[in-house]
Parts: sequence; C-alpha cells; structure tokens
Amino acid sequence: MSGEPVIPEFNECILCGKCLEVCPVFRATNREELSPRGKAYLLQELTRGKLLDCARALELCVLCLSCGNCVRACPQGIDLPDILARVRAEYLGLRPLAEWFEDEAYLRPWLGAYRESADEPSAVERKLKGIGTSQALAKEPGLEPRVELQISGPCLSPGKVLFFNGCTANYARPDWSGKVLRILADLGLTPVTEPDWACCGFTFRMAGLAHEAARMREINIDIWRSAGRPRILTICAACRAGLSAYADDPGIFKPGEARRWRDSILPLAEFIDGVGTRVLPGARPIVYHKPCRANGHDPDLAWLKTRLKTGVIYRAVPGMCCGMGGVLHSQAGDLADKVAENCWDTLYVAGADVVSSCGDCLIRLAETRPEDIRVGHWLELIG
Amino acid sequence: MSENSRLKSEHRKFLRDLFPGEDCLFSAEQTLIYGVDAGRVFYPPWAVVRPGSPDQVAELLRWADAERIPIFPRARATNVVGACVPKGGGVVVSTLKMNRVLDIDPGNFTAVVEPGVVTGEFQREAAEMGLFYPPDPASVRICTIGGNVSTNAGGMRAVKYGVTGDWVLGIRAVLPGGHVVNTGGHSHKNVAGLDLTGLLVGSEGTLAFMTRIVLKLIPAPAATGTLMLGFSTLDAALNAAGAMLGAGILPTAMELMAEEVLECLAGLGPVPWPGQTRAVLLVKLDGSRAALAEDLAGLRSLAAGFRPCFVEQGIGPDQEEPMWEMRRLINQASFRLAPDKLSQDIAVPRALVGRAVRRIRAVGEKHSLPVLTFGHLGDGNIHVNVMYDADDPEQAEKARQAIEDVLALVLEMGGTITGEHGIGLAKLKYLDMQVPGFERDLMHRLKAAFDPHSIMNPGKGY
Repeated sequence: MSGEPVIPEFNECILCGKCLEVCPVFRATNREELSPRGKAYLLQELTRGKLLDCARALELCVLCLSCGNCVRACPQGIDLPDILARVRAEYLGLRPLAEWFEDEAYLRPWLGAYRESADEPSAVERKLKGIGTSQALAKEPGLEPRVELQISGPCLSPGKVLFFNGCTANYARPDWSGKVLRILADLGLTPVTEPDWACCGFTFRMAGLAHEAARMREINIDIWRSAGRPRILTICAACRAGLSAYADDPGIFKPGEARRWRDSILPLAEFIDGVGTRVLPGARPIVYHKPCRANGHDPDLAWLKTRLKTGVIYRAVPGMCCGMGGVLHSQAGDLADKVAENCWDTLYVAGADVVSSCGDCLIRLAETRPEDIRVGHWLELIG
Repeated sequence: MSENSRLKSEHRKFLRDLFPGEDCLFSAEQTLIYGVDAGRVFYPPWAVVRPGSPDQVAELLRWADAERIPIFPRARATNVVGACVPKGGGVVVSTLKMNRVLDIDPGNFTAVVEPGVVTGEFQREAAEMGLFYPPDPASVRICTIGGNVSTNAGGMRAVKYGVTGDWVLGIRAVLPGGHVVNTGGHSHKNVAGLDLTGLLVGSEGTLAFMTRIVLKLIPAPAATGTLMLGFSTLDAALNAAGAMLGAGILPTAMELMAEEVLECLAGLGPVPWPGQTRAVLLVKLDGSRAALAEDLAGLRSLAAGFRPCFVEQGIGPDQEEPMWEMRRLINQASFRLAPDKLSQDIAVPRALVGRAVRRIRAVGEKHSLPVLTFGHLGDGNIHVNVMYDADDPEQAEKARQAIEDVLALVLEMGGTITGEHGIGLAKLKYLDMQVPGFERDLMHRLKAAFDPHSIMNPGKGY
C-alpha cells in the first residue's frame, strides 16, 4: 500500500459512450462525471500527468456499483470495477473502507441477522445499523407457491454435489437452504454435504480487500478439492459470479483445473431443468428482477419463463440495478437510493411478487420496495 | 476549474444559484469529461451546468450574452468532430436532465421531446404505440434527439427515410440573450416565412439552445427483414448493390463493410461469414408481410447472380438485431488496427459510390495505411477511417495526406466532405475545399443575426 495511487494500465478509452447505455449509476443520475466513460477518462488523464487532485479524482471514480455492465459493453475491454478494486487495494487514501469490512461479521448485520445474535453488536454492526441497514429481507413473509415440481423418480443428474448456500441464505434466509435440501432429497440425490464455506469474497475484492478475498477463495477451493472436485450447486447469481471469477486469476488452479472449477458451478435452475412442473393458481403478478451478475444467459429467468410462460413478467431495460452492488451502498447511500428508485420505476407492477436469483439484490429490493410489493427468491415459488 | 477561466466569483455565484447542488460543477476533476467528446480532443471547461427546465436555460443565456460567456451545449457527446468541446473556454451545458418525452400523439403522428431524450429509447416508446421514428445513426442506443438535430444526423435507414431534418416539424429554442423562439409547428406541412427550423437543424449548437423538438412520426411498418450477403471480392459486392438499386426496390438500408472492416470485427468476437469473404452487404427491407417476402426473394435471386459466398436472412428484430449490431460496432472495432484514426464521412452522388470506394482504397494503398471503408452504400455516404499511430510522426503525416487526398477526390466527383458527422472543430480546416468564401461569409452573417456576441459554441461548424 502506498500514499500514491497505483492505477493499473488499461486499453485507452475511446470515449465512444457505449457504457452510457448500461451504467445504472449514470442512468439514475444523468451525471456524466459518474459514468464509466467519465471515470475511465479521469483515470487515464491522471496517469498521463494531467494536473488533477488525485484524492478528489479517486473519490469520484470509486462511486461504482461493480455491476460489470460497462465491462460487457466496452469495445476496448476496459474492466472498470476491477481497476477500481485494485486502486482501492493499493491506495492508502481508501483504506478507511477496510474498517467496514473487517471480516465476515460485516455480513451478518448487513443481512439482518444481528438482532438474532446473542453477542454484543460489534463496532461494525453498530455502524451499519447507523446507516439504516434494515432487516427487511429477513422479515419478508415468504411467497405463495406458484409452481410444483413433479418428481417421478431418481434425480436426473446423479453424483456428488456440494451445496453453496451463500451468505444471504446462511445468515438471513435459512429457509432457502432448507427448501433446496428438501428438493434435492426428493430428487433422490446422494447426500448433499454442506461444508463450512467462506463467503465467495466478491464484495471484499471490490472493496479493495484483496488479501481477505484471497483467503476466502483459498478456503473454498480447498473444500472443493478435498471433496473430489464435485459439482457445486448455487442458488445465487452473485455467488455464482464470485466463485466463477476465481478462475480469472492465473496461478490459482493447476492446468486444466480452472475450467473444471468453472464447469462445476451449477445454478439450481439448470440442475432441476429435467424435472416436470405444474403451475399452481395465484392472484399476484410475478415480476422477475435480473441481477447484474447474471450477465448474458440467465438460467433462472429461462427456467421461470419455460415453466410459468406468460405468468412471469420480465422487462429488459439496460442498466437496471437494485443499487446494492459493490460498496456503493456503504459509501454513498443517496446515490444507491437513486439507483434503486430508478429500478423500481421499471420493476413496479401493483401488488406483485418480485423475485430474483441474487441474495444481494433481494436484500436491497426488500429494503426499498413499495408497500404493496413482496420480495423473495424465485425458489420460494416452488411448492 | 480551468486555469484559463474568465469566470469571476460573481459569475460562479450566479451559476451556483441558478443550478443548485450537483448541477453546477467547477472542479477540474468533476468537469474533466465535459471537456472532451468522441472526437477525443480535450479543452478544459470553466464550469459545467445541468439545467432541468427551459426557464433555467433562458436565464442562463440571458446572463451569458450579457457577460459574454461562451456556452457549449452538450448531450451524450458521441460527436466525432469535436463539436461539443469547449475550445477557448466557457460553460458546458449538459442537456441530459432535459430528457422527457413530452408527448406522442398517434392521432397527429407527432411527438414532442426534450433534447436529452435518447433516440433509441424514444423509438421504442413510439413503437409501443405502433409508430415509427426512422432516423437511426449507429449510436442510436446512446445518442440523443437534441444531438441528432444539431448535426442533422443520418443513419442506416436514410436511404429510404431520409435524415433527421426530414422528421423535424418544429423547434423551441432559446437565443443568446434569453429570448425564446418557436420555429415551425405541429403541422406536417408548413411554409410560412423562411424555414428557421431548417436553419437550426444541423447548426451544431452555434445558433440557439434547443429546449423542445416536434418530430414527425409514421405508422410502423408491419414487417422488416435483413439480408446479409458476403462476397469474395469488393467488386462483386458493389456490382450486386448497383443491380439491387437498379431493380426498382428501394431498400430501407443498404450498408457496405469492406475487407479491413471485416478483420476488425473478427477481432471483437465471432463473425458469421466465412474466411474468404472480402466484402459484406447488409440490406434491410420493410413493408407489409407479403411485400417483404416478395422483395426479399427478389433481392436474393438478384444477388445470386453475383455469387455471394455467404447469405443469411433475418426476419423481425430478434433475428435482425445481431446482424445490425455488428455494423454499429465498426467505429469502436477499428481501434484494433491502430490507436488513432482520422475519420471522414464523405458522400458522393449515389451512382458514383462504387467508384469512390475503389479510389479511396487506392489512397490507402498509396500511403501504406489501413483505410477502412464502410457505410451507407445505398445513399452514397461512405465512412472512411484512416487508422494510424499519432505518436509516429511519419504515420501522422501520411494519415493527414491520405485524408486530403480522399477529400480532394470526393469533391472532384461532386461530393461532400461530410454527409452526417458535421464540421465541428475537426473538419474546419477542410471547409474551404468545399464551401466558397462568399457562402461561408453568408453563414457567419446569419449566425450574427442569432448570436451577435458569438457565445453559442464559438469557433465551430463554419
């Protein structure tokens, strides 16, 4: 760590503006200085020695949801969330963020579980309570079942499975884990082991806590290797993206192992793809919120559309984001709120059940939802 | 704030009072991006403001004229000729908060929008009501109606539907000094007095600040279809295109992508055409379902005579969009060849476009630099990207010379140095090649009538 920022090299931003279509922070505010183009240009000019105040420039640049939409849009392949994560990791001026993320204890109050804890709230927990983190998701009543699995025999994909329940299920909604285990048992799967996973580490890496994120990665890969490199079942798009990203760093896996790691990570929707279903009646409209990290093909949306057909509403609008991502929520709550507001402008259908496949999104959606809306994981729709 | 700023503390106070909070920026860090556009040449702004209402714009222009402070209107800044950059200093005014679609009227086939409305989003909204706003520059998903009107933007559908100016019925704008003018109106035909709407369209922000635009709409075509044809020689592609146009079918769009462009696109991701392809034609048709089917079949049969090595057809947006998206990515993809480009968007009389493409490519060979040729074959407007490394003085000189050669041959063929992008800043030095002194002086006199103190985007366009 140093007093001066170390800005990683990146391909030149050609200022084409393609990122403006998809950046949720820009779309919610129309402030070009907060767009990926604006930030990339600022970082570029900093490295070229333009007379700019480094601290002020970086304060602007780090107002980022780490959603990755700009990365997918950029013809120059500039990965701004990754660049910012590395700047945060190196730049002394941004270290105060670390106190928010000392360890996984950060996650418990975030996920609404701290009141259940018998321990005295930590300093971190008190701080997070202070900024209004709510337990909304933990308090959501659960959704009415709308689809029934018609299980008529052994599991279509036999073999060992590790279940990666993810931090949200772990701390805030253990009922999700319970449901998955029941489904798998009904499918006649060999015992699904539940190891003591660490968090996937994505948020920690985005916050610049590269060492902490690396520690979590090591724990999780060890578990997988010790179990014989089986399939890993996930129910969260953020977990899936965070785990898959381990394979992006060279030197983590042995030759050929990285690909095997990626191929092992399976979403539940693909796992139960071969199981028949029957639609159950229900009055409330069902609206799907696509998480930023379910980029490209979204297996959960695909499953819902196949099974519920017109019974699930999905409006594809570029740059929609719940506003949770990265560390924006803890750094700039007002901005994160604007992003959420923008999201609800598209998402809202009166009296709807809003479902998603990402634990982070669901925390945020539950926190920001209009009165008449209920929020839950799409899993909850399975009767 | 820029070191050269002429803004005094009372000026800054005025701006802060008129544009509270985050809508008034002074720091170098916050204003940096506002000093540059897709033309990639930077000048530092003195300040950036973001109006949310026409009243703020009027008050701003009243003040700016009185204080002689230059004003630089800016939307999404996808402009490639530096028309948005605050050369010489001044206040950059972002229109992005003025982004409401105020009305879409299916009975009158009109719409009223604020300048910051994103063109592609407006098209989608109109389409939901069965209405069609055709102009579609390649940046359609990012750019704004205000930006399009300022440059009289074209796009791929121009061959059938014309350019932005053909769809503007009226404009409300604020003049320097704060007076609000309304040009044109809501009638589809309107010839009362001089055509001030026409004058504002394409004026690159040099005459007035638009706050609302009345647009014409038509019923959405029932069906659309696209043919993508790959040829193993450029000549075959150009000849096929000529035959198609000569057969009496007016395509919605006809685009050419020549050899080097195909290589660049292949560098961005998988491409559908086989390795021996040297030129691709993209042809779009629209109309009733029956007419579309017949016209597509007719074109396929015509094209077959020129032995395409690749033929793909798409019906409807889901199938067509991936084909057109490749075309839209060319400008960005071109940077795979070299870090810098000098781009021109020349246009020649339609019958001469094949000859122009061949001669332009010969210029590239002469100077040993990659020259990408692509674009609106159907209406004679071809984009020319000379790719080079600006850090290499020899290449920079060759690139400059190549551009001059291209422009000279285009003008010799009776064409224009810019079909769509405008003059902005980047092409001012070439304007004299096309526009004689008297006509240019006439333009300045007209500007003086609108903007006597020359505060509106000074030094641009003409």
